[in-house]
Amino acid sequence: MERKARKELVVAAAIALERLTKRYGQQVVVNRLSFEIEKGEIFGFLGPNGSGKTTTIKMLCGILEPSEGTGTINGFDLVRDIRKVKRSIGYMSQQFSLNRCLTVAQNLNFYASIFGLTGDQSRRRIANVLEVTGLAGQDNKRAASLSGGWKQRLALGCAIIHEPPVVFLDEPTAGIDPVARRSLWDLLVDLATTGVTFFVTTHYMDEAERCSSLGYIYNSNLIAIGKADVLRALPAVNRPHRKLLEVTCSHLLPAVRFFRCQDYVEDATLFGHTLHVVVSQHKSTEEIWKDLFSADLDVTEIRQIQPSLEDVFVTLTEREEARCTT
Amino acid sequence: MHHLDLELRTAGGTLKPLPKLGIKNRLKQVSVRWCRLLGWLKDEFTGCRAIMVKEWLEVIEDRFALLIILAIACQIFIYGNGISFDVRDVDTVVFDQERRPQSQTVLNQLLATGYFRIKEHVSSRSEVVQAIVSGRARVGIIIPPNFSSKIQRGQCGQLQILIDGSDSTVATSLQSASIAVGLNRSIQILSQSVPAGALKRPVDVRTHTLFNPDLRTQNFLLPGIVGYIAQNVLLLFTMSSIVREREGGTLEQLMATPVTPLGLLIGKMIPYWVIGIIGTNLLLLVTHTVFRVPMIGNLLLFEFCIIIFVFVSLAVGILISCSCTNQMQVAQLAAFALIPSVMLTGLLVPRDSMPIPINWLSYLLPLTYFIQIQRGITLRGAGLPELWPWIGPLIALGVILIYLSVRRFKTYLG
Repeated sequence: MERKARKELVVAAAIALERLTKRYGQQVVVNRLSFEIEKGEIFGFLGPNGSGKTTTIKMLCGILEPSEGTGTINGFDLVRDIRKVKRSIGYMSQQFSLNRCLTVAQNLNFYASIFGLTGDQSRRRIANVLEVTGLAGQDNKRAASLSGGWKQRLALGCAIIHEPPVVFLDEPTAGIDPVARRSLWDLLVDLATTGVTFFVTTHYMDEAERCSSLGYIYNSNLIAIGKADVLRALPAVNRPHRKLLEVTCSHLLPAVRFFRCQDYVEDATLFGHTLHVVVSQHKSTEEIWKDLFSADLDVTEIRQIQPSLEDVFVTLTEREEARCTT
Repeated sequence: MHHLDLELRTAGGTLKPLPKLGIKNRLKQVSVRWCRLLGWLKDEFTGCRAIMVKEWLEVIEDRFALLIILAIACQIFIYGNGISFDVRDVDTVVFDQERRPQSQTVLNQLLATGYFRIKEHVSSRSEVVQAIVSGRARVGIIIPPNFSSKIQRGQCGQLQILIDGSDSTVATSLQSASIAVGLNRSIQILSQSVPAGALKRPVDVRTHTLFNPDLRTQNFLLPGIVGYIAQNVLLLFTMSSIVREREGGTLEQLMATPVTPLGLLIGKMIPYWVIGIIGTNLLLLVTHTVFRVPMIGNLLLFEFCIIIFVFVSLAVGILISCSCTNQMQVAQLAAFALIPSVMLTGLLVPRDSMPIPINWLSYLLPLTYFIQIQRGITLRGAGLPELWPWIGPLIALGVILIYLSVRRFKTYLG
């Protein structure tokens, strides 16, 4: 009993990494990653292209062998128990990687059979996946003839056919339309409520906002991890005695030029149809209004905001870049 | 020994009898061991069945590939009818300066061998040479004007036959045929001048062909061609199989599942294995029924060899596929395997006369073994004891190829 309890304690984290490293010769692609992800989370793994996201996922799925360090997934060791790890995870790679000339049903059948599902069990799971992914009724269509969004749904279906507690998704929404993107995310959130842990990489900030926790990897190093709110409150992002203002005005470019010349402004960037301006704490909004007014700029709104995730990651990246060059 | 043990124990009285393993327990132990072995095998072949089913579906879906298989298999009819090493009806020009019965007799005897076919009569020596140089004819027969008179006078009547040596096989055959005709005619003429029965040949060489008594090229060639077609079709299909999965990204997807390298490779091979065995048998049936190639040996042994040969051919393809990163490399490597299988395996050229290093190279191709086995069984009726030196290494080659494939497979993913 006691041993079982202890085992469960260890298993509490769905994914736990310890100094996970991947090297190709001299080049370090993933550098000593150590973190834990709890069950039922949607973990968003972010970072610029080439930062080591895909390599990390491939190591966690047993496609690549770690050069150093280890980790556990569902309590199974990444190095010693890789086969057990593979049985307990689902993986959806960056490119569409199902058999194009097979039908939807045949693809699902194939993956069910690979994970050792047979007979009734297999039929039940396939029916369930068809229903959950909304693919029911399209089972006889060839995978190649599906549109991008449906292809991704099928790929997700194949990844969850054996009810894995952990699912890895490598840029699942790259290159599909916004509607399909949103509905795929709705599906992920639904599944997460049933206790499935998702490990997702993405470049979309709106997707990052929907994750329950986030990690940011830059240049093969993990530089931030935590819930979205925690990241927004990072001291590196919220520089001391500074505040972030969102300025709405009709002529954006002159406004940017204006702000960049002011000595109390640390940074001004275009952000859609608004400006994000970092100013010193003791400069009040009224004073800025006044300044803008005297510069003949037509401003409709100024309000203090929390940094968005994009702010967070841009700031973190810039800070890392600066650190690397000095 | 056992008996003695028991006695000692009872005499000593202090020793407790060892717990004897009953039959039941022993059976249990054995079965546990077997279960463990089976469990291990099952682990090593995880996903094999799933891959096999999927591969079957893909093979059936791929109409184009099936058509290609059929087209290649139909080549057997072309080779069966078209290819022959038999030298027959070689174009000949004649410069007969005499045109008398003696010369006509020799000429007729030459024609009777079936090797020559007179294409034209010319009227000068240079025309004969010209005909050979231009390729209009391969043989020129020149009969001098004094041929008959010399023979009648008891002198030697000389006859010149010019042979184009650029095709050495044809040249050799014609040479020996011409000399044989000359000798025969000489003996005929000599025997006319002595009483019947007085002349006996001092030496009489007679050959007796044990197998393939008619010396049909088809008997020699067609079995080899069957192996050649089978090996190449199988190579073509497996060579691209792993690379295709890799290019499509499906391989990476599979590597994140519990599928093992062995399960994947064997699962991919099984459909082609079955197709290969059926196809080879069909081709052999054609050679047997349509082209009357004999089948002397043990059919069961032959089937066993076919099963192994098909597997090893597939394994060559799999190893190539595991070593390549794209289809272009596969195409280039294919040439590396296909051309030697014509030149080095004994299909057309006897392997006996090859230099040893090249000979060794040919052992890398399963066709080399299969041609020997096949000719042994079908033409000579050889059995397992005679063919073991070929069958054993063929099996070993298969095992080595699969082992290397699995290793290649692991390294290129890592």
